[in-house]
Amino acid sequence: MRIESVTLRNYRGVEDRTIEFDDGVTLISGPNEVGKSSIAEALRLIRTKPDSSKAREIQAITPVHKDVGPEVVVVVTTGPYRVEYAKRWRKRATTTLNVFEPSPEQHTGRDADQRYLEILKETLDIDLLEALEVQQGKSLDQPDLAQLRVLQNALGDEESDESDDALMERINAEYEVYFTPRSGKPSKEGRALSDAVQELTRERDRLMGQSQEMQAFVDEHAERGVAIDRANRSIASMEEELAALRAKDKELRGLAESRDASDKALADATERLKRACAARDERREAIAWLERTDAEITEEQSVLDERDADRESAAEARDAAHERARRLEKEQAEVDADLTKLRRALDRHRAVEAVEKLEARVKAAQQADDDVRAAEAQMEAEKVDEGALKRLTKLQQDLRVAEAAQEAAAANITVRAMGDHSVGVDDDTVQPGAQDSRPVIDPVRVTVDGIVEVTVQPGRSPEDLQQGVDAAHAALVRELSKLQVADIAAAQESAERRHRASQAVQDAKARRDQNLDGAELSELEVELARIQAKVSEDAPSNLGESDTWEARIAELDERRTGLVEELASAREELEERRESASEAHTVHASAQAALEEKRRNADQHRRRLTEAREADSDEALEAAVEQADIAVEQATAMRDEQQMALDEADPESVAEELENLEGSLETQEKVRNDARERRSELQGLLRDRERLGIRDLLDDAEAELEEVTQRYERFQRRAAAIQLLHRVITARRDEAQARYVAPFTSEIDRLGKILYNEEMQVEVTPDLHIASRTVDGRTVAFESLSGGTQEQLALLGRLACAQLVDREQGAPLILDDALGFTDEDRLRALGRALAKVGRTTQVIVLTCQPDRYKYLGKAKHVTLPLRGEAVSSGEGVGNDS
Amino acid sequence: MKFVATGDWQLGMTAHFLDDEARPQFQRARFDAVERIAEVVAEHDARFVVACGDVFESNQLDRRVIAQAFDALRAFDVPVVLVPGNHDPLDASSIYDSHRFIGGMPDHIHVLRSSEPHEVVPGVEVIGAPWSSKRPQRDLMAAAVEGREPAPDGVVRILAGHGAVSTLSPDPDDPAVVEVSDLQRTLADGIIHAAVLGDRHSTTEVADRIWYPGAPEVTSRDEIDPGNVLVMDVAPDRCEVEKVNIGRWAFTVVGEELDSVEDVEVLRRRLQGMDAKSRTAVWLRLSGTLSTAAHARLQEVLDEASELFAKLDAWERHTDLAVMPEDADFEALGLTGFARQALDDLESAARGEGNHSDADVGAAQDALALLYRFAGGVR
Repeated sequence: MRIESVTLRNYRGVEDRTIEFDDGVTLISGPNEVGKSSIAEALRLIRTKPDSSKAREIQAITPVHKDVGPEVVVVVTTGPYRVEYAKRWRKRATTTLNVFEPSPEQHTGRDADQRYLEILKETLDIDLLEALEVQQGKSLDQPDLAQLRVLQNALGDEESDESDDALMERINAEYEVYFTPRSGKPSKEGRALSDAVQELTRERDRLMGQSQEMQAFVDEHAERGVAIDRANRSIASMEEELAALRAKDKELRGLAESRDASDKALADATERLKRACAARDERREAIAWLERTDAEITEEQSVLDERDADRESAAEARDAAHERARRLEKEQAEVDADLTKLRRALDRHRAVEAVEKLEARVKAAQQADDDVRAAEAQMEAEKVDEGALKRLTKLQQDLRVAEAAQEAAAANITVRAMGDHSVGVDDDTVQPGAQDSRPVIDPVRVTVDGIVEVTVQPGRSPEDLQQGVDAAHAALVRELSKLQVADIAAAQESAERRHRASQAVQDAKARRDQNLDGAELSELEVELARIQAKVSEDAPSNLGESDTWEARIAELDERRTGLVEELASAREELEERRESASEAHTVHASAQAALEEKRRNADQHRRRLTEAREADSDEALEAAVEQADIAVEQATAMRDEQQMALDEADPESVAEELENLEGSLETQEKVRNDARERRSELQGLLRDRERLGIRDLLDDAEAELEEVTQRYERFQRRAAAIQLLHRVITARRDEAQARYVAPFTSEIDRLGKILYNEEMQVEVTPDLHIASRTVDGRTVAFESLSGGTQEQLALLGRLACAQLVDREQGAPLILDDALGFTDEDRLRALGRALAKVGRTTQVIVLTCQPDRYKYLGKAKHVTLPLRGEAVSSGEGVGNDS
Repeated sequence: MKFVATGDWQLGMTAHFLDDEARPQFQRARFDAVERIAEVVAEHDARFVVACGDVFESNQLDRRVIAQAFDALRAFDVPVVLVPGNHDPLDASSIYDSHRFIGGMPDHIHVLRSSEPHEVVPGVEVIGAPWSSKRPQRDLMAAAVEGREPAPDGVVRILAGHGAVSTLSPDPDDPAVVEVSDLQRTLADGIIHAAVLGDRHSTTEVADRIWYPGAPEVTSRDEIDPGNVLVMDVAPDRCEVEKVNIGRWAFTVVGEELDSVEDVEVLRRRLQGMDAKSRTAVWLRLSGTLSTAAHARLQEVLDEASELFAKLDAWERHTDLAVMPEDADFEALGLTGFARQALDDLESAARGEGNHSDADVGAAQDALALLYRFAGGVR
């Protein structure tokens, strides 16, 4: 296809402009906004939008302030056709198609559109038309070339046609009914069917379970019925057996009762025998006891007689001892009387001697006592003692000190006797040549006999000194007065006298104490009186000479000591005899009492025995024992007989069997009742289930499941079919596409050499996208290449495609303001490549920077004026027209 | 003395394999059949009806079925004797013991609950052998007449029961099998004069005076001669049996060998020619080998037919039909390039060449059919 010219009228800002294109390269340049892009756009819109279109793109190209519709006219040659296709939108919309070659045709309206498309489809691949256009701003995008049939044909698949695309579309559409397009997972419908099958299967199984459960209830109900019948039969036969057993048990009970009665009778007989034996034994014992006791009494009587003799001899011994003791006591009393008499006489004799000595001592003591009192009276008269004298002397001294102090303070007078005259100073005389010096305390009178008398008057002495002298003087006077002495000398004399009296007191006291010898005088006086009284008693008579008394006393004392000893031993003996006598007496008394008791007791027993014999004779008792013994034997025999009969009947196993049977019967009844209970329960459950109509529900569920299962199976079968078809055909298509890769790649590589002047290789994917570029052994992914390189490679893909496609089937390559990312050197090389492609393919380059394309070789150059109406169609660089 | 012997009404039965619209009609058809039996009674002046078991499809049915049954039974003006069978035994869930049944049972309906002779009309006794569980442990027919004396003079006795007879039973060890020789002896002894049984849905004469009347309406495609009742005229010295067809439904298996598109046309015409399609279920047993194109045509034919029949079980399960692509099928479509290669691949797989499972082969055949359709072979 070749575009001869495009005319735009009232198209965006363009009022009317026609651009004619070269068969080879046409470069259309002009500043921005002059409508370069409009040319490419107009070529698209005229083909895709009917004149009635109200699409946004048509609104966009309509002039704003004019009441006119945008209009495009294209003249193209494609295959054998040469046509003029004109379209005006919106205002007076119209479409016309004038076919000039190969034979004239004219179409308008829809017909025109349809015919134009027919012609295009007949002569070229519209996708190629779109693939070879580089729209403004999209220069980095790689074209989708893989599905271009012309390219496929050029690359070796001469059979590929559009029906393949339709087929693939249908297959893909069908595939997407069953599977998701990307992941190939079951579609929503498939999942829904699968879920429905599962859900319905579950529901069916649930209902089936319910149905089976209901049948199980029915079966169990029947089984329980059988069990009840079985139990009833068992119960009937058991009850029969039970009746027989109970009768036997009753009989055995009777037998056991008789045996128990016999037991009782035997026990009674045994008891009676025991009692008879006891009575007989008691009688025998009583007789024996009485005999034994009588013997004992006789024996004990003889012993008692012996005891009586013992008692009497003991009493005699005691009386003898008593007599001896009394005799000794009397003898001792006589000795004691003699001793008393002698000792009294001796005492009187000694008292007479003591009175004389004591009278002398009393007299001397009394004299000394009188002396003491006289001396003490004298001491009392003399007041001055040693202490008082010391005080006085001290006071005298104090006075002298005070006076000396006064003198020291007073004027002093010194009188020297001149010549031979003596001078009188007060009462003293100073011898001639001598001198006298004294203080003037009192008026001092100096006299020279006869010549002169001078009186020196003392000044007034200091008051405190005077007061001191006065006080000392007063104290001295006061003390003297108190001691009743005139002066110190008198005091000293008094003190001397007092000292002498004191010594006299001492002497007299010593004398008195010597006579008293520690006692008081009054005591001595009382003693004296007492002794004197004793002496006044009568002198004893008939006692011989007093100097023998003491010897006689000693002799008597000795004798008395012997008597005392003898008496003590006699008393001891007496005590012993008394005890022996008492003991013998007691022994005898108690033996006698015991014997008497024994006798009474024996008599009592004898009486009882007699009475008992009167009731039952000894012989009767013996006979009773014999009789009871026979009764016991008989009762034992009867009891043993009954026991044996009972043992033979084995009542225990009868009772056991009875118990067992009763238990079994109870068990059977329980079994029956349980079964009955369960049966009513099952009946209830069944009534409950009955209402559900399980069978109907199950039938419905099965029908539904059947239907959905069939649908699902059909679905799956179709899914398997389309999956297989899709897989196989996609694989084959990919293979086919992969086969195009090699020639396409080598074409790009070839063009790449022009561009890069070096060895370059690209890797191309089966869908004919450039995946990577390798230069100098370095491979870089397309996406990682620089913008400029991406742009160049994308263009190379298109160039390769344009180059490969059959010239007759080719479409113009349109570059709208592309290569903005490409540098100067590359632009130059690219110019060469474009020029080379331009030899076989129409190339239209739209740019605002014509400098970029100055190496396009021979090319038609059209410059669009800024808002100009006319088109300056001039000679471009290397333009050949 | 004439009466109508029937059985296996299977009231309440559905057929889950039928299509949605056909299913309720099929269910209704069983009640309609009962009403038609009443017509037969009138036409033949029969004096009573004996239904030999399986009157109801199940004891687990929704009890609404009782009202529907009574409604259908109102069409009779003679006694109708029902003998419980294995589908409706007198067990704890028995439909005959439900309140609705006992409360609503019309006077002329008699359920035989024991084997005591039941005087259905003067001079005629029916001895029933009812089932009381699904698995009886003995021959109930034999038990019913055990120890019985011959019928008194002037009394005709019919034994009515249910179950498989020894000469036809698939399981001779089943303790419940009805021993035919015992029945014959009973007949010979004059204890009974005829024996009728339910359970077998095809009308069958087991032996002289021993009959299966069969189901009055078909229930399964395996049944040989369903849809009948028997009008029996029995006397001590006579037994005449007339089979009367009253069934409206048909379950049919259609077998065809299909090897060409012409065969497909033959099948189409055969299906087209069948009567009462809405009451007919068809199971196709197809065999042969069809080309992809012919198979595509077959599918069209079956799609159309399935809309007419109550059931058309066409594909998948009962079909042994191979689909083999023929070059001619696809040549007209002019597939080229990768599409052609894909076609070759699928054809190879469809022929089972290489390592392919049956499922793969089937899928390949289906895929070819799809390819054929998408490439423009059909429509």
